[in-house]
Amino acid sequence: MNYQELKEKEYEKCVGLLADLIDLDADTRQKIHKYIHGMGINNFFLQIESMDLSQETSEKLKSIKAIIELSDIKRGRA
Amino acid sequence: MNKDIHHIENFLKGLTSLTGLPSRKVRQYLKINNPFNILEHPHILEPNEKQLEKIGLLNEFISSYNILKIYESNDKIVLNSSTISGQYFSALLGGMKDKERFMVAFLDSGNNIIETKTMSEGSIGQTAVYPREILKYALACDCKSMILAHNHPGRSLSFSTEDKLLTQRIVDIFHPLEIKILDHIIVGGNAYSSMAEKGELPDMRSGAANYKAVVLSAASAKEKKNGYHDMQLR
Repeated sequence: MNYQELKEKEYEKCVGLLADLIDLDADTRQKIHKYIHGMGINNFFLQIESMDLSQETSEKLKSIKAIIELSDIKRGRA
Repeated sequence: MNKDIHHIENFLKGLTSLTGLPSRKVRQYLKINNPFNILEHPHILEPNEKQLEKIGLLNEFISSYNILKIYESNDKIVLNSSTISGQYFSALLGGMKDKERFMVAFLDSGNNIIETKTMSEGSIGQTAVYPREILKYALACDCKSMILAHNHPGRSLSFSTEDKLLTQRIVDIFHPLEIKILDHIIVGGNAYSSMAEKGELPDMRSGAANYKAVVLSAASAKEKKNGYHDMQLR
């Protein structure tokens, strides 16, 4: 498997985990996959407010953002 | 220190809302312990099966997020053609059906994105764009060029008079600073159009820089004539 295929596989896995974690429906899952694939995982979390997602989904994503932000700080990557 | 407290407070809220762990219990634990102990050793808070499953998913997600960040650190987003820019802004603006948003991608000398910002957001029919706000961000990130984009909730892909006026005004402001405006993308639904591709992008300074806000209208002249814009508002 080449680099690009590995990355694509990781996108699938990441969105799948997100869907299970915050109980996404199929349409929202597909939409988020498109967003993350198009702009990258980091930009995705920076642009939550800009996306056409329900209030409930946005709030859940902000909760995840709060956790990964602290995780980034602890790892010295913020 | 205050920033740390703020991050930990947000972490606490995020963790409890995602996993269902009791807030009081988590808060008590965090008073004297590292927040990540909860993720690494979830049994310390005696979670039920459902909570444990969510913590497991959260851990897996963080791992996947970190892997993707490594993958992506090798991939800069380069907006070096109207096609790539159109696709990029379609991903950001294509889903906006109920309001108009104006965004700017600030680029370095290799056309890599330094930052993409939402500069204004309005109702379904219009949004006001303040060039001085764009100037503030452009100078702060030391960009060499910019790409403008906004969506038309009515799905029109035509550039309105206001769109052209705004583009001209921004070119006039940034030309003396040697910051190029490479394109202005309009997104309507899942489609887009590029001002550069259509040869309508102003490339010369037409007069003194004007910093006044420009109100963009989402409807093209044809739509206005046909009353399509009014129909959208009903």
